[in-house]
Amino acid sequence: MFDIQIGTNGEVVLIGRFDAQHIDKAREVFGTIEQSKVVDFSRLEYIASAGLGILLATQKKLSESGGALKLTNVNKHIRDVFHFSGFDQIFEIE
Amino acid sequence: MQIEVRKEIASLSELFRQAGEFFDEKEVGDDARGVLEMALEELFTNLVKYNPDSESLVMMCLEIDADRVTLSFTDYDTDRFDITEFPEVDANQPLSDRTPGGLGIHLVKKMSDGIEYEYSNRVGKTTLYKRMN
Repeated sequence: MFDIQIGTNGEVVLIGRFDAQHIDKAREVFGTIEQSKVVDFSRLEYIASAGLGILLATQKKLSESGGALKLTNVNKHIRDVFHFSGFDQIFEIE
Repeated sequence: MQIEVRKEIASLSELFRQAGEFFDEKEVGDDARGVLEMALEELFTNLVKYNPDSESLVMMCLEIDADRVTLSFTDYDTDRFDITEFPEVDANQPLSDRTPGGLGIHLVKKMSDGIEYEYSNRVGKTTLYKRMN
């Protein structure tokens, strides 16, 4: 199961398992982001490279207008994934 | 445990389900489980992407060998596809130089405890090892 919701403060909330089967849904939602945004990982169990690609493409697009994604509530495994992919150098992670 | 599936992204659900049952039964730790699930997805999706024309099924095996889990994928009727020979990814590139893609195998290599590849008679087998806890 994978879902994306918008939280009470406008943050993007990722829920469940962000795997290659759900890439189209994620691309559709992240494609609408035009300004800086918080992405809440507190309800995300799993992410693989397909999901990382969506985050990276969005970050590159936002950087052209001075914006950025901020990633919050990241669990240990996903934090390790961000470390080994170097995402901890190109994203603000809380 | 072993399972054969069609070489298509929709097969991931069944692979995850069977692997999850195996990890529960064998009490595989959360850290190892996270890496193995990611490896499962990255190895399988690469087979789907780079050898899509084969109609043959793909076999996934999971075994416990002492204190480590062995995950393997066997791909039949395939050209050689050795991920251990993939070039290194520079994970320190600045955002401006990065392009989406290529991170999956890099992560699998960095986060596992070893990967091997065998190829013979048009059968390729990738085997990955991860300590259980």
